[in-house]
Amino acid sequence: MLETLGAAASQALTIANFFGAALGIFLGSLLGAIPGLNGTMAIALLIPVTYTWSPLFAIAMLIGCWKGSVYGGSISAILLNAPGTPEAAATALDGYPLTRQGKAGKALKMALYASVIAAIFSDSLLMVAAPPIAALALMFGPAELAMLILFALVVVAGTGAKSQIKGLISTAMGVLLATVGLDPITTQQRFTFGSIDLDAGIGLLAMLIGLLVMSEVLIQMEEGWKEAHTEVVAQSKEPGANRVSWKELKGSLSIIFRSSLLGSFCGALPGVGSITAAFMGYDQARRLSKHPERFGKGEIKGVAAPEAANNAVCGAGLIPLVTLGIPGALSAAVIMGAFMIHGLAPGPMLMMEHPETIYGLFMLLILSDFFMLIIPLPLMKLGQWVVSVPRAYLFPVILVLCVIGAYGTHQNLFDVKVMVFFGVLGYFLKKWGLSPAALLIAFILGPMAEVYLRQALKISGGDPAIFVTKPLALLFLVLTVAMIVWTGWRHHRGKGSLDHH
Amino acid sequence: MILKSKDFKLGAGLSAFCLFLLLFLIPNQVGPLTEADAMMPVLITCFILLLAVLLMAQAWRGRTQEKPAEEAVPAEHRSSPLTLAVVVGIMAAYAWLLELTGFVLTSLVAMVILFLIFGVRNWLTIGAITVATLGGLYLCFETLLGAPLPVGTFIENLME
Repeated sequence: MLETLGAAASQALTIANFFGAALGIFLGSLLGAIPGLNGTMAIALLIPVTYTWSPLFAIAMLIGCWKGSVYGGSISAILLNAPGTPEAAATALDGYPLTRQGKAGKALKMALYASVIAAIFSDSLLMVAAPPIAALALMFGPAELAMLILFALVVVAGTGAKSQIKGLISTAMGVLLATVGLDPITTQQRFTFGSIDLDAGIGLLAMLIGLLVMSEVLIQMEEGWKEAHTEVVAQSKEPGANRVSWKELKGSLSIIFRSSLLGSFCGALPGVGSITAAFMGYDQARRLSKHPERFGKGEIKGVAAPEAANNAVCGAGLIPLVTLGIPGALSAAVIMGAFMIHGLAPGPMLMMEHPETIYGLFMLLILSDFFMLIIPLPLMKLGQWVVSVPRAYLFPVILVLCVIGAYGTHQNLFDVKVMVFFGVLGYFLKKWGLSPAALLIAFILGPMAEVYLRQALKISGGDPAIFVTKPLALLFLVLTVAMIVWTGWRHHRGKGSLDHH
Repeated sequence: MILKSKDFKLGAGLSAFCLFLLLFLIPNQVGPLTEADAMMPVLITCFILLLAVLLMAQAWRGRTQEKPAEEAVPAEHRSSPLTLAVVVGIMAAYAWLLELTGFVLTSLVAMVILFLIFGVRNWLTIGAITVATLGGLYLCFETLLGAPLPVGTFIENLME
């Protein structure tokens, strides 16, 4: 073990990798601060740039970008009451009232400290929890893995769709799209329409950029993008108004740790995500406070709680990804795409085959948390300029980046056409209340589901009873059915999907 | 009522698509429905068909009937469906013309048109952002990453 850690440290702790993590945090904070851009979009657009880089450098940068964007979202939420990312909406509840009191600096710094503490907590949890879970997952056979993926597919169906049925339709469409290309076992062509470009299947990155970035631009165009005049409130001249005192930080520590724990729990569960975590964190802080009436009027703990919760999701969100190969959230699915492009297949074997890379990545993650303490500070000063970049300037640049991003990885012009197709499809999916996020995660999990399902059936001689005679497979099957029933019941009671808090 | 009819239409459209898949596309593009290659596409298509029928039934019973959301954003802050269609058209043309006219020329024209569509009228701003973006991308891909950007067959012929 010590040998592995030593090898990981020598591989990971290099100036180049430090630079990668720092660059990711800088870009993430910057892009996350701009309303209209979010972390997932930023990562999707950055992946093509990284494909010639070393896996550690590239993935450290992309995860840094994810973390940075989660914090960056709070900058515009606090300064303009316009959350840069959806998960920062809870931060705006108390962050913006603080800005109106001239205490924007205090709110931004508290958001940063809470984010860093939560990120360190969550990354440490990832380091401790990942190896035993991966070791346990190695005992799974094809039947168990097929049922585990089925369970994950049902869970992700709750991500972003307007109803359970629509979530399941989105998921099934993702699995169906994953069957395009050569059959993984017999190499028979499926849905290729005679095109060589489709033999390898639909390009993940082109699909991802189309579904997440181009469609988002189209949706924002339709839903309202021309900025109204935004009021920028001057900062108070009082020195105490722009810093967080030790007393304030100490008073918020228990809330930060509680929210970190809650965020880590939400992150480790597939399909829950950081939006839910942020609102749950805010809610528990308000309910357990001695002064709940102060929340919503500029309570500093109301900034610390959601920021800690949504930042804790990042590290813990990598637990199912690294150990089981199951992306629990959309950002994790995009990061999984990055792993795959760099020749690393997430799952239990990854820990066995590339332990140095994985432990190296864990080390860089913890290190990037400390970078997060330093790098976004200058952005606070730039904040008012960054958050007010007009979308009329942003959209043409994003659309050109979509085209180049889709082309960049394989230098294939067909991928650009695929990107445009999925951009339009993503727009209609959102319009119809279907979920591009669930479709994308299912597209990634689909091939694995098919291979394990067919392997299991081959082992049993075609007898589907294998899925109920193996205890773990049966457990996942029962959980899958329970999940469908529970989500259906929730929907029936009018609570909607998991993402609609 | 609006959502009810929208969900019903979605369910009907999906059902028709699933039937098209089962009766035409899978037999022609994959193989006989009983073969192993077709197992996953058939299973998933049947599942989508079932869900589409359920969606239609639910919409018919009015379960998904909700009040349409109030328009929070004033109309002048939104783009018209025509603008949306034009942007999609530009993106499609961009994707198809890259092969012919290459990265630099196609992106330059596309970016300028997109800026104009999004209401930017200051030519200095348009020029500065376009040159900075395209120059940055060209440097990044051609020089730093060693990934050649498409030159375009038309430009190649001109250069020859």
